[in-house]
Amino acid sequence: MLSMSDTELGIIVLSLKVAFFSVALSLPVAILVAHALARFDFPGKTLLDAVIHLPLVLPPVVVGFALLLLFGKHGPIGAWLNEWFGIVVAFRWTGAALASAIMGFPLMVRAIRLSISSIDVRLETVARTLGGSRIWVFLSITLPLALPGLITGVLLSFARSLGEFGATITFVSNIPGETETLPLAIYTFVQSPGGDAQAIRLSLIAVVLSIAALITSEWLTRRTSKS
Amino acid sequence: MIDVDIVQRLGTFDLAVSFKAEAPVVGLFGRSGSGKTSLVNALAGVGGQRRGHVIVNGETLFDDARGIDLPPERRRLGYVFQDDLLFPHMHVEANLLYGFRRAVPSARVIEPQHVIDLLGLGGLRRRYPGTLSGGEKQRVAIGRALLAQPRLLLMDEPLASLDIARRDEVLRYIELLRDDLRIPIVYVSHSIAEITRLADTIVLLAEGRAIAVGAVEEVMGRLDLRPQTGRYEAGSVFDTTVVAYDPKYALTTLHFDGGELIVPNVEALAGERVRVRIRARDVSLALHPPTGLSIVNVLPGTITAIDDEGGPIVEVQLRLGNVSLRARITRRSRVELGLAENREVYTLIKAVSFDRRSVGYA
Repeated sequence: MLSMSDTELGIIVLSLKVAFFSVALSLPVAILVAHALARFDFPGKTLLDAVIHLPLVLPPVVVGFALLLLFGKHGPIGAWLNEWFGIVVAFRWTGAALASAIMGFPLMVRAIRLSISSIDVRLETVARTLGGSRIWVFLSITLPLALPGLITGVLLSFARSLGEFGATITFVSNIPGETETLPLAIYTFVQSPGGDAQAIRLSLIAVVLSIAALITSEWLTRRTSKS
Repeated sequence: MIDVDIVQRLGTFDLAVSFKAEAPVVGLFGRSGSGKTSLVNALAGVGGQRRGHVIVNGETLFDDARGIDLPPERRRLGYVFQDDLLFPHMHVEANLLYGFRRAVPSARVIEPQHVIDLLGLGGLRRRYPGTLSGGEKQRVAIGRALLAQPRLLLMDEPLASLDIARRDEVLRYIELLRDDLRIPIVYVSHSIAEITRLADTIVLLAEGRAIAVGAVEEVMGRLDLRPQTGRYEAGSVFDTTVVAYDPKYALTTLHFDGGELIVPNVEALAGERVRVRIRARDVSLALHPPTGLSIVNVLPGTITAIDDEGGPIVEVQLRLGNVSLRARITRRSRVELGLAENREVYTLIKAVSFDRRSVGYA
């Protein structure tokens, strides 16, 4: 039980890699979107808000299917990415990261937006009158004060990514070593005769990973709220 | 020199303020809802579209006709709010240096160490705002605004969220920096005591308009502005010089053109200038110099005007040397004593009517 096979290790490393890149991909975008939603009024704000929340309410399979249509080799975005940058995401681990990023995006935006909304706007005004440009005020005041929300957002999105199943399997399929993350591997073992023991081992690993992520986030939040 | 002409529509409220003022401290006085904060925001360049112009010390910060509208960070106006608004994630020193670091090095005239000494912040450098008292926080906020090297300090009710004791503490520091750093200040308040203690020129705001601009004594003494300046707060303000301190009774003698006043609660040295405010209701009148009296201040004066609206109380304007003083007495006393213009009388002012709030550094 204590020693992991190479296959298991590979599955865990892949899952963490997918989760890490999905968070890294969505975090900068989520910060910008959350800031815009929290601080500005602009035409189409309600629509943007609704679109961002779609992955939360749609069946994940639908999101995966939409991604396949858009980012598939012959899809409008997929063909363009392939032609100009030589990037292919369909049926690759990068595609799994993209699917996870989109599924976790609403959770991340919500957490960060709430955090930014709770900051007194006058702190930003005062920083402006003290000579800070818009961008500098955002970097030196808004972002540091929104840190607890950022941490929560990152954790939620990371956890969502570790557990992502429906959109991933629809978009990038279940390819061992490429797109077979922890939940997909568990599913495979559950489906194969005599795979129960393996499925249980992987499930326990999933539990350990989740608890580790929770503890880390709790520790980070405490550390930032201390100062 | 501040030259302001601002027209702005804020929901159902119309702001249309126009005035020019030249003074170390300009007091913006008005009741709540008179447009004080909207005006200060217009000066600072925050919040909404407006027309008109803002010129400070010859520099145009805003002029819609010429298409000039400097963003807040380029106006160099230190804004001190009612709440201290310290950055909670930075310790005191980082708060103080936030604007200092953004200022052009060649424009850094006000040194951090000087401000820290002046405002007594030495022991607080590494503390976080959450651990400071209200007065300490407001002092840090003032220091932070000063270190951004402002051409003008905007203070919007800086004492309003403090308790009485802390108010006095912060007020003393504001007087100190006014005299020491010589930065012009626009001081907003609905407290006439604060305005009269600090300001030289007053801009009286009512319903989004500047209805009077002038020397504090002059505007506050005008009987026609009483609906705005307030009946209860009626009084007079003038500058005096400290002559002597009597440690036995803890009383200070102040000299002014109309004579000498003996007051308690002054912590100033001989030769220092002190501004006093005497409320009209604390002044009594007598036809002859009274004897056997507990009132220590008895000064001769001349009646210059009497405001008698037929009510039970009348207001008498007096001249003591070159200083004008107001007294509130009953109409019965006025009739029984036969008080009239140009009549010589004795004014009686109780020393105990001078509280801490009515005496400050001039």
